[in-house]
Amino acid sequence: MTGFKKWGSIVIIIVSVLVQTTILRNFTIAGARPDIALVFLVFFANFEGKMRGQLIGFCGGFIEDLLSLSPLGFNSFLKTLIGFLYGITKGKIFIDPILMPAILTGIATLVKMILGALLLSIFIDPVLAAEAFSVHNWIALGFNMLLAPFLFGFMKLFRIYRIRQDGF
Amino acid sequence: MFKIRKIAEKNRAGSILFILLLISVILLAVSGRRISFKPKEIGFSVISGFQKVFSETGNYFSRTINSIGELKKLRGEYNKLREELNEYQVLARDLAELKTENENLRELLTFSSEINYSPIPAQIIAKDPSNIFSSIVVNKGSRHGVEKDMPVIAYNEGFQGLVGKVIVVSPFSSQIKPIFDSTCYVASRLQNSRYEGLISGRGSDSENLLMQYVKKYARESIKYGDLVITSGMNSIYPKGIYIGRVRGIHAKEYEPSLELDVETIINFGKLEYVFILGTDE
Repeated sequence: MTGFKKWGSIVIIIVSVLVQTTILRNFTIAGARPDIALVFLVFFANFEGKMRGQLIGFCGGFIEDLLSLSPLGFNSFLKTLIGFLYGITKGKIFIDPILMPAILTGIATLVKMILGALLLSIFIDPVLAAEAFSVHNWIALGFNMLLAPFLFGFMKLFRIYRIRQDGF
Repeated sequence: MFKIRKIAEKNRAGSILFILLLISVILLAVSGRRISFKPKEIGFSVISGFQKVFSETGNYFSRTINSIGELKKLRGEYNKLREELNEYQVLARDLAELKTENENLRELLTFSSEINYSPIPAQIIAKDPSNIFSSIVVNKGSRHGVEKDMPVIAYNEGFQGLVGKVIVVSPFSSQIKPIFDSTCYVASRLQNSRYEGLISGRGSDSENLLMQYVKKYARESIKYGDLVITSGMNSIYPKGIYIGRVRGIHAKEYEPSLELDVETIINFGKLEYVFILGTDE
C-alpha cells in the first residue's frame, strides 16, 4: 500500500471535517449542513474495505467529537460502524457515477440518524433523541445525496481511486 | 485465553471493530451526563421523531388548503382596515419612534451603570459540524482572559443581543454554546410588560426560540414584536441584554402558562464578530 493510499483517506476525512466546520460553515440549505465527511467515508470504506473503513470512520468521527458540542465517542461510534458496514460492500456493488453514490450516502445518513437517536437516548438525554430526526436532518439527508455524485466524481479524478471498477 | 486469541486472529476486522466501538462507548459513558437504558423511552423517542415529520407535513398541507378560503374573507377586512390604518399611521409612527428611543436610552443607561464588564472582541472561526448539536468557535481563549461560562453578546442593527455562553476554553480559542441550542436556557423578561419566562433553543438558528412559563394572565399585555431581554435572575447572563422579538403567542387551554415564539435579535447566519463579557475583577 502506498503512503498516499495508506494515509490519504484519513487525511482527506480530517480535512473534510475541518473544511465543513470553517470554510463551508454557512453552506446550508434552510439551516441544514451537509455531512461531507460522511460522503467521503462511504467512498473510502467502499473502496478500501471494512478494516480500513472502520479506522477511517473512527478517526473522522473522533475529530468531529472534538470540534462539536457532542460528547466524546458519539460521532466516533457512528462513523466506525458506518465505515465497517460500508467496508463490507467492497467489490460487491458497482458504483455508477450518479445513482449509487446518492443511494449509498442516503442510507448512510439514515443509519447515522437512527443510531444517533439511540446513542442520545442511552447516553445523553432522551429528549434530544428527537433532534436526530428533526427537519434539518432530513434536509441534510437530501443535501448529502445531492453532493455524493460530485464528491465521488472528485475522488475519481485521483488515479489511485480509479483502478477498481468491479461490481456484481 | 488461547481460544479468544485464536478467534481474534481469525476475525481481525471484527475484533478491531469491537475495540473501536468499545473505546467510543467508554468515551460516551465518561463524557455523557448519565447512563440509562429504557427501551420504552428509546422507542418513543425514535418513533416520535417520525411522528414529528408526519405531523409537520400534514399541518403544512392543511394550512395551505384552509388559507385559500380565509384569503377571500380577509381581503374585504383588509381593505376596510387599511383605510383606518392610514389615519393612525402618521400619529403612531412619531409616538413609536420616541418611545423606542426613550426605552433604548434608558436600557443602555441601566446596563452601563449596573454592570461592570470588559468586553473581549472575538471573531467566529468555525461552527459545529453536526445538525444535532450547535456550537460556535471563536479565536480568543484563556490567553486573552476568556473563562468558562462567560456570557457572549454581539451588536446587530443597534441592539446589544445575546449570543450564548462560553463552554470550552483552550489557550487560543473558545467554544460557545449559542442560545438556539436545544440545551441552552436563559432567564428572560418581556421588556414592556415585564413578565418573566424561560427562553430555550430549538436546535437551529433558523428556528425561533421558545419562551415558556409566562403567566397566562399576561396574554393581553403581550404584543407581536415585543422585545425580550435577559432578566438576570439566577443566571450568568447580565440583566437587560436583548434576546429577541415575540413572533408568536400560544395559549393552550390545558397549560397554566403561555408559550411564546421568539425570533433572535441576532442574525446568526450573518454573525462574524462577538464580544465575550469578562468581569473587571
